[in-house]
Amino acid sequence: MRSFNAKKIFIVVIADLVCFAILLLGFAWFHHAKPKKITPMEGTSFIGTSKPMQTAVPTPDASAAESTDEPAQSTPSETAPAVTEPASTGGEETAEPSQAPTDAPSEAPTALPSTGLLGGKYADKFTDGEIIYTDSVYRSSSVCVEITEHAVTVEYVPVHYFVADIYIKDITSLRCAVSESSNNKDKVNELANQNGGIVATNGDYFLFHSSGLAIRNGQLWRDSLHPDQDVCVLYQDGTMETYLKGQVDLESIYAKGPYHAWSFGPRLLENGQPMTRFNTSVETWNPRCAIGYYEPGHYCLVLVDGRQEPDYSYGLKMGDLSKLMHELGCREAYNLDGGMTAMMAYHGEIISKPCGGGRQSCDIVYVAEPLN
Amino acid sequence: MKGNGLFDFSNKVRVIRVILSHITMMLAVLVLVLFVIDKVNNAMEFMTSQLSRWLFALLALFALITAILNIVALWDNPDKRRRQRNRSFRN
Repeated sequence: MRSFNAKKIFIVVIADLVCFAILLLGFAWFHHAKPKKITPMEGTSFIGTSKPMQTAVPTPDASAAESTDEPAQSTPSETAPAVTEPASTGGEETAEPSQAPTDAPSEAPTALPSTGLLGGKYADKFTDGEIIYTDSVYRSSSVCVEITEHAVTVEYVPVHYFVADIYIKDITSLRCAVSESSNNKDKVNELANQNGGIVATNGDYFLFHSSGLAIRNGQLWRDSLHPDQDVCVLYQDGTMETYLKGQVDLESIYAKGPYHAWSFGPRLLENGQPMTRFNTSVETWNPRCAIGYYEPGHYCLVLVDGRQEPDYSYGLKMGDLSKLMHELGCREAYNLDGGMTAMMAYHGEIISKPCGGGRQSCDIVYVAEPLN
Repeated sequence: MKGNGLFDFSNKVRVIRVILSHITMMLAVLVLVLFVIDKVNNAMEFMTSQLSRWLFALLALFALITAILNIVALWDNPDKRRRQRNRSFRN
């Protein structure tokens, strides 16, 4: 009798486990595996205005495609004067042709005018028109990207990381791209290639999150705040600000003209100083991706390889990443998606070594020639 | 269909109680799993997403129904329960 009951109980337990596995897989599918069709919110573009305005939705991909065709020829004549003359001069020149054809007052220009973010500084970083594209450096008349690879030891463990030092004269050179494939995911280098990206990293994976402020290329995608996430906003004037959770004021952000807003975090620097406590539960060694801000027009993308013990790279703790961004001289820094998602592409190839071969990403942050 | 112990399906209410109990148990374990992995990586929003909220509501609903059925079943007086127990033992 006892063995008979034990058999029945065994069958019930197995049936329960099978049902639970099905339930768990179903939840995982609907929670973060099933493709979600999220599109930019209609009529909410911040381009060319300090507040959201009713306008046609710009198509960043289409405009980016133009820049990939002739990245060198379109920019030298427009941006070369900005190196020697005040930044505003270049901006006015490029603003006129983009605004002149628009008769309807309700329509905003689809691309920002060149603002000369660096104000003539770092002139040696740019060329007079020619394009220099080596294994570690890209220079043109409006964009400079310098890739450096570092192998260091942090707390007795090896760490491998890449820094993309970025100088741009126009905020439209630092763009984001969102995957339009059926499953909302693409490889970082493929997304970069599609959009003419010189260097690219993954973004904040916002399509697969249910909340969190998301603004891409001046276009509002989602305006709901995540209760536990810090927010990073890159404004059209080139400044970047990070906000702790609970201190995000959407109205003030909208009023200042945001160009990008990421919701992942945490914030890595406080008043330019490294932090010790972070708004995250993933503080241990991991592959990391972060964006840093020095001044308008000068940024960096940092990619830390990890989970590849014992010889290559362990990754970084959040505190160590904060110190790294501080040592790089950043005034603001923000952590983007990490883990298997973290990877950096340059010159159309993945240059980092993502753990487990990496995974596809739904969005990227990339540097390209400006839209105008 | 009639049997002993766990597989006595003679009573429809009993069948429903058994099934609901198992569903409630699985939902509860799922919520516990989500709670743990949310502590590991809260960026995945396992406890705050819209789907999770529906899961919590579903768990609460099933727990409520199961509890009501249990309360109703236990509402009878002890003598009746004893007689029922003796009858089930004889069967």
